[in-house]
Amino acid sequence: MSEEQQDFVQSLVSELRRGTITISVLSQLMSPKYGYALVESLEEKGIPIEPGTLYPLLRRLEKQELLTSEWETTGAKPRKYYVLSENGKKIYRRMCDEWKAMTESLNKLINENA
Amino acid sequence: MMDNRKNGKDLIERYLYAVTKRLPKEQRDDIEKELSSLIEDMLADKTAGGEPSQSDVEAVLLELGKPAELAAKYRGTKNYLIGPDYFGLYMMVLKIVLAAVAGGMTIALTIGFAAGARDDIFASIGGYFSTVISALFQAFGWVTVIFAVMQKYNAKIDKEDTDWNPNELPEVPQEKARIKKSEPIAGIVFTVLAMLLFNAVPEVFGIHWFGEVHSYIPVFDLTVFRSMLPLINVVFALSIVKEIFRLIIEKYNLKLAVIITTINIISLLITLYVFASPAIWNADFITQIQAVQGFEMPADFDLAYHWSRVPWYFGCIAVFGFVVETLTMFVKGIRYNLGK
Repeated sequence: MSEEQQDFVQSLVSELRRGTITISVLSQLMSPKYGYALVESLEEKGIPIEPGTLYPLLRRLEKQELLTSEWETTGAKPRKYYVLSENGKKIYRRMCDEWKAMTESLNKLINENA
Repeated sequence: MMDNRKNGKDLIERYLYAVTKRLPKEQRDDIEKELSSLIEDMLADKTAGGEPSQSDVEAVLLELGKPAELAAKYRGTKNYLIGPDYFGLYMMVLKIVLAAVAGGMTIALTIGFAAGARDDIFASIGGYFSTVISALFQAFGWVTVIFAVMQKYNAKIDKEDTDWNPNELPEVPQEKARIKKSEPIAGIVFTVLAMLLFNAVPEVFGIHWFGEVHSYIPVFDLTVFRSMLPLINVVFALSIVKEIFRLIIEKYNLKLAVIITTINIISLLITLYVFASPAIWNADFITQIQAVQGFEMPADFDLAYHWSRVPWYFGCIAVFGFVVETLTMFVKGIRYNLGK
């Protein structure tokens, strides 16, 4: 593949990835986590996300009432912990169903050509 | 080592400031605290708990990205001076205005040169270029400001009203209700030309008597006229805004009628303030005209009386023009939008 094609593929992949960030983040917040711990755990599991993207996203999800947050000041450094709200859990479950249905349909589509 | 650490701290502080100053006040403290603890975590990760060097700090900040971009992600909205919705129209109006200014300046200055005192021709040419260039910059500035204000105002409206209903799509306007682009464009060109005459060569407003000698009697008191110029220019600018609304809305309807009437009321008040009082008119007009050789006062026409009534006549004309345009706009706005 030429360099140009590779760049193009890269931009398509990151577009795909962008749509999955929210569901990935929600999946990790059944129990409270702070931002950087989330960066690390997602990276370990093969979903790298830049802190500069994650932190604003967490804040937006909190504003949309999917997450709640709390400052934890007892540790060595103050950290803001985020966790799924009741509403967030409901929405996360719903998103999981949607994701499964979508991947199933998509697999069917691409397997037609296999 | 100590020095390194100090510089690193300073860099972090500067970075946090650069991000948070772009954010709404009520979020600043919280985001700053969170980002600063994030930076500490990232540094600790990099140095495995050791003392971070300045280059470690630099690497972490580079990873976080440009402050403006990070702040934009936090805000979640894009800020435009003139957004994509308006950019096409902005470029079009800008081109028309700049072309009219360049062309109009040439005409105005030629008239001014022919009518005025015959200065040195080279000085006039030099003056011509500097005047045209500064006029072009002013025109650019004004058009941009007008569009920036419209962008700001409309961006707010768009945010409040996000969903739409196909049934609420405006009907295709009747042929008669459409405003052809050429009308507002001609309006803009005409306004710019008038504005140029007023600003560059106010002397053309006068009586030029080409007898044995060229005598010239100004209609305006030029000192008062110059002091009123900014207000007069506001009226011209409002008139350009009116034409831009015609270009945007593209058809006669009630909304356009209301907008144009609102602008016209402001213009009318300013016009009356400036021209319907005697101060701006040349008080010595009568004595000056009588002094002109070869001029004979018509016997049955009381020029002095009528000259004293000019502010009043002018006010009447302005009010008449206002009433006619308002009625036209509302009549067309209503009649062309009744059901078929």
